[in-house]
Amino acid sequence: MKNTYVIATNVVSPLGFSTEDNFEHIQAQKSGLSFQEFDFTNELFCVSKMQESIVNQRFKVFGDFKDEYSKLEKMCILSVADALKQTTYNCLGKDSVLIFCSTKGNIDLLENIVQNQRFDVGLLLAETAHKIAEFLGFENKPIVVSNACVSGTQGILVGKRFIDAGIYNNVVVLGGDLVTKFTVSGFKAFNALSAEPCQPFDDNRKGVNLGEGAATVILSNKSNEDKDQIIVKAGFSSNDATHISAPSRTGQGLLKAIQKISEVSDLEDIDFVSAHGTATRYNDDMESQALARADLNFVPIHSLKGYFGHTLGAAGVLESVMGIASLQHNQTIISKGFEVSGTVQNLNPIKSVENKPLRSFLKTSSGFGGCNAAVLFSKINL
Amino acid sequence: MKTSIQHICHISQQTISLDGKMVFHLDNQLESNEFLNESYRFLQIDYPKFFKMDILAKIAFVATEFICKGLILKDINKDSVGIVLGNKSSSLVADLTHQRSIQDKNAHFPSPAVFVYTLPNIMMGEMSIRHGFSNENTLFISDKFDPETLEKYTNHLFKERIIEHCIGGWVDAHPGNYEAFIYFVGTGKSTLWGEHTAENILALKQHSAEEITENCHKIPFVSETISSEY
Repeated sequence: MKNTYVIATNVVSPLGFSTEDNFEHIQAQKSGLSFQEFDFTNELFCVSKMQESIVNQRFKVFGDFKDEYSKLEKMCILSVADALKQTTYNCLGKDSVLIFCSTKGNIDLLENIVQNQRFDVGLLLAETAHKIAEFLGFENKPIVVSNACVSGTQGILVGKRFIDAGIYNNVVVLGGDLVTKFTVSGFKAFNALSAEPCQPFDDNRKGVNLGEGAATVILSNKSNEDKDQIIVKAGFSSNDATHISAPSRTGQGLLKAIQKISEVSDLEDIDFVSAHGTATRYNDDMESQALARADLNFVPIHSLKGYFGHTLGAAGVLESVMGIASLQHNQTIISKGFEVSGTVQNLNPIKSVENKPLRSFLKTSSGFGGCNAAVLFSKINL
Repeated sequence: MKTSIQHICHISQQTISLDGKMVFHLDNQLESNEFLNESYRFLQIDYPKFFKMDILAKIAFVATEFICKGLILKDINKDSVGIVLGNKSSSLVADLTHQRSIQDKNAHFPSPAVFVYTLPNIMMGEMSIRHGFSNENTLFISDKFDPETLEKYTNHLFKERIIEHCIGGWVDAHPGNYEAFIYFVGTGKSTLWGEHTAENILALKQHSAEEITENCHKIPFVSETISSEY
């Protein structure tokens, strides 16, 4: 099987509009989390939310658009456009496709739809993807993957498989989701939100913070010729088949996805795990179980939720991009918010930024519906 | 690798057809939810969790249940069954229910039991839990039924031996309407429904939709009970 190369990346978040901006800021221990108001309560929520005015300001590089594009669409277009600039390959033609990964897209439109009792097609994920793809000039119709919080990681997996199968030569995987009253009130109803900045894997962890962002990974069957390459080496997904809103206590589905990777690729030498790490009691315990059963619990691990919050459908792409940046910079990323070990099986969260050769990492995601996905990224020397 | 379509279940217009036969139909116009509850009762299974599901999960559940009744499940490795579905409206019906519970800030009453269904892939979680299918789930969202993407992606999973069987199809629900067209894909030849190709999938869907439209007003009929392989 030919390699699937990562030829460009981008992250758009409150911490910046490029992979480099975001990486620099998280390495300086900055976080996008802040306390924000929502109109249904006096309570403040700790979320990572982008200022609309800054997104609009940035979007002006494309011309003067008023309300034709939503905040999410603008973030997504900015993300993909920046990634496209990094490669000389044409990733817009007949041999290329855009995969949009999202859980809720423009769900903020629903309030007006209910208010006015008039449907707005902007709510449909396929329509959002179409608008983004058309603006950027993709010839093919985009593909949308919506698999809860696994969407982004699953999208990378789908992209790799399209390339393996020879269906496309280039796949632009885009993840994007917003922080809205819709999701905040839902996670609140689940008692899953932490009032303070989240603490993945910590004994004191009290839940998740939501975040918004857009992120892009461009995959190709051809490498950029100039430098060390990162490839998507292997990946699998698996359903727990136990519960729709609680992860398997034994980490069964995640373990299966990881085990399938280990059947085709060596996992002994991986440098770190970029975990889902939502900082809920159940999720982090589940991950510790799965990793311990796979003999990977002593591998250095980070969760990026303390920097970006949980960006839902974008998380798998966004966190993969930061993991890729960590390999490219040969610099570890601290698992922000971790102090005291507090998972059922002991894990090894990264506590300091270290410069050292890094060659590969495992990205894992888990989500509602019992879905789990794991992808192995690895450096190869040309 | 040759893959073929081995069973088909189509639900629309208060009618359920399984492998080309009309197996369940209700004449009097019911709410989508009521029709699905009646079809669950017709299945004569004991799975009370069904009543907690939203419309999308219910319709996917019922269609899969009909298909699985025709399968000898003990001969199938549950770990080798993938689920690859298409959908247009995401989880719109559940989204509306959740939105109405938060629309008025003075009457804010969101429920986790509703919120969990505001993700369209939950239907695949319900199918996985019911039948123990623990392989891959992928949900593609498109503006209309997209058999090309479903076929290409699914056949690649077969070729790479990631799966040995697959539940594929289209499940969509929006206020006032619903449709499930679910098929079971396996390897080897199927004399019944032919090859698993985009053209064939599309033709089968159109044909069965026409049959439902033609026949759904001619019935009431008495359906034979389907034997269970559980």
